[in-house]
Amino acid sequence: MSKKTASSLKTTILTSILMVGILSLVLSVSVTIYKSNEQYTREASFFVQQIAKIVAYNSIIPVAFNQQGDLDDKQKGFLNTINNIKEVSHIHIYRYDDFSEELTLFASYIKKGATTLRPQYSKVKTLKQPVFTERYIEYAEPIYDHSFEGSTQNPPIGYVYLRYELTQYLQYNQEMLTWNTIVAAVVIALSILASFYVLNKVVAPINRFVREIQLITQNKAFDSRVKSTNLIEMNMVAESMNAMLAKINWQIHQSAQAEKEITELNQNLEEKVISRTQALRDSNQELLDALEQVHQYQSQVIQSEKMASLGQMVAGVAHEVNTPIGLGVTASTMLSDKIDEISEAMENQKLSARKLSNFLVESKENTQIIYRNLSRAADLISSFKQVAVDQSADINREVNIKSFFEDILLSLNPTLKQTSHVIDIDCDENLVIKSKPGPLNQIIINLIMNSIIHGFDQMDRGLISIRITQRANTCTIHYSDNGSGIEEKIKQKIFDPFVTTRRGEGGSGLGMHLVYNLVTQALNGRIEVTSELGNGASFDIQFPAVQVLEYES
Amino acid sequence: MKVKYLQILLLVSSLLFNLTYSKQATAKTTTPLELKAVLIYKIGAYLRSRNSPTIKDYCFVGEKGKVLADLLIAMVKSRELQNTINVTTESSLEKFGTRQCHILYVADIPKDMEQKLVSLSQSTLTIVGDVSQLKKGGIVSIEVQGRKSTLYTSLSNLKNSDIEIHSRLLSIMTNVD
Repeated sequence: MSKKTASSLKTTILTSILMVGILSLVLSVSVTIYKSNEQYTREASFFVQQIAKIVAYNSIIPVAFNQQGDLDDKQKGFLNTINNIKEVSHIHIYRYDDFSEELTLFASYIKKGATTLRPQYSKVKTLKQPVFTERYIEYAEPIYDHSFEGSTQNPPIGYVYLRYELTQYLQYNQEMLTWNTIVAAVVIALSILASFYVLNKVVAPINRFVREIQLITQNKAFDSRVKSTNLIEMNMVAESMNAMLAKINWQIHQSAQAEKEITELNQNLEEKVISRTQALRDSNQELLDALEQVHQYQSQVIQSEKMASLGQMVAGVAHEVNTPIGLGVTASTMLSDKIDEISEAMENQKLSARKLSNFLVESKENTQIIYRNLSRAADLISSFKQVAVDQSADINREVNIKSFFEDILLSLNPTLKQTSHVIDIDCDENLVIKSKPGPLNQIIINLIMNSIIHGFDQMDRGLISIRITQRANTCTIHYSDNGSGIEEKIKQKIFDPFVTTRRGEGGSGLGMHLVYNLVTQALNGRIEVTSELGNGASFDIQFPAVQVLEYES
Repeated sequence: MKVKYLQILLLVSSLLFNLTYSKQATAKTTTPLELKAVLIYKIGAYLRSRNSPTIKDYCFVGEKGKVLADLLIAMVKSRELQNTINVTTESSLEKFGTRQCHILYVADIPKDMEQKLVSLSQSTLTIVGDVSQLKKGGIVSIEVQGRKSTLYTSLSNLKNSDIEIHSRLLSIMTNVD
């Protein structure tokens, strides 16, 4: 972690003021000198050019007519007038010689005290602009003789070479530099004085303020207050600091109180947690007991439903067996009466051959009736016995599906006889599978009773279609009716326990739950319901079952 | 072999010598007469009279005048002097009328022509061949000695004429009055 170098406020203020002062000064002096230099350069260039032009103009005729004396004559020569311009140190006037046509020094001017300057033949043609050197400006102006009208294209007849000294400018610059140095020194001195003044005025109260804060922090005397100073800003900080100290003091007080309360609360809380945990545990136990009870009730209800289903079957069986038994009893009673009549006739010796013959015919008929009905009863009992055994024993056995389903329908005959509903079983007569007939029986009875009670409630002649198919090791039962169908909200939870549309009218709401449990748990299969209100309902049941081939059975 | 190299060296040296000095050989050398002709020509530029036409009329009298006129014509033709001028030469001064010429050069003035010169000087800048002739009515005289030339004038004659001369030109002339 990098640590920033800290610097004192004193150093910062002192450095800042000095830096600002010096930088401002340097900037100001630089700009002034630069602008002054630029201005002087521009003006000097212009001035030099103008002087050269004036000299050139006045040299035209002397140069043209080769009259040197008119220019540099000590008494009346034009160049003597240049004496008034102190900066001009040298003027050379060059002329193309009439005979050799070479440039010759025609006339010259030298300022008093200046050293002689050798002729500048090669330079004059190139000095088309003023050239600045360290000490002087050089410039050459061509001399044109344009006196003839339309002679502006004529070549120059000579040149004016002028050297302009920068002595004065350099002196001015020197003076400027001296004055600027003096001003800079004064400004720096003033800056230092101002810095010390600011330091005394600002830093001293800040230092005192900091010391007070340090003392308060060290002694943790947050109830103390910082004293005001002679600076408004510092007073504002002091006020804020005092407000903060007051807040800190209050906070400390508050947190001490809160700590105390928390300690007390913590003690109480543990007790509360223990008691609440115990209460929760008790409540949980109660809930578990209640749940157990509910499960028990549920099992009991399911068992009751099973028993009701069994009872229904037994009632049917009793009803079926009752008819042939009754017929047998009637026939045997009639036979007994006939035997009594024959015995009496024989004792009274009134037995005729015709009577005996009739008795024998009637007796044979009665015995045949008795035999047939007893046989029928025996068959029924045998069949019901098998169903009863299947109901109670949850074991796998070979089942001929077609005849098994017909037996189930036979057991439901007392109920079905009271209605005009039709049940159609579509199954291969030779289909024999290994499965649990008991659960299968209860599933089909429940589905049929549901169709009759709910689906065909508003119908006189309903149709139930049961199609059984076997593929590989899976048996599929497609059960459908053309009843009123199932509402969507009921359909979604049709296999849940206690779901009924006939609550209070005898419906327990466990029928379809029982079917679901029997399919999924007893048969280890699955069941799906498809229904639309008004378009009947269908159930697809699939469960694992091995088909038994004919030679095996 | 050495002789052959020396011959080539000499040939190259002579060629370089010729190339170097051929320019100098062709460089123009002005004679005092030509300088005089040029000065007469230049005076025309600083002269203002009558309508100051663009092309000035230069008149020359006599044999000496004709020599100067020929030199002047040659220099104008060769563009040595860039401005066009009209040059007229006559054998006698009397053949020139007033206001016919802007500048008139006459080297010698016969006695009988002095009055004519005075008359012509009233409207023409008359240049005479000798300073002494300025007293006979001439306005300007040019004296060339070697490379140095001196211009003389008679201010009184100039004042009597309607000719205007550039003051700077006047300032370089020597007044003989």
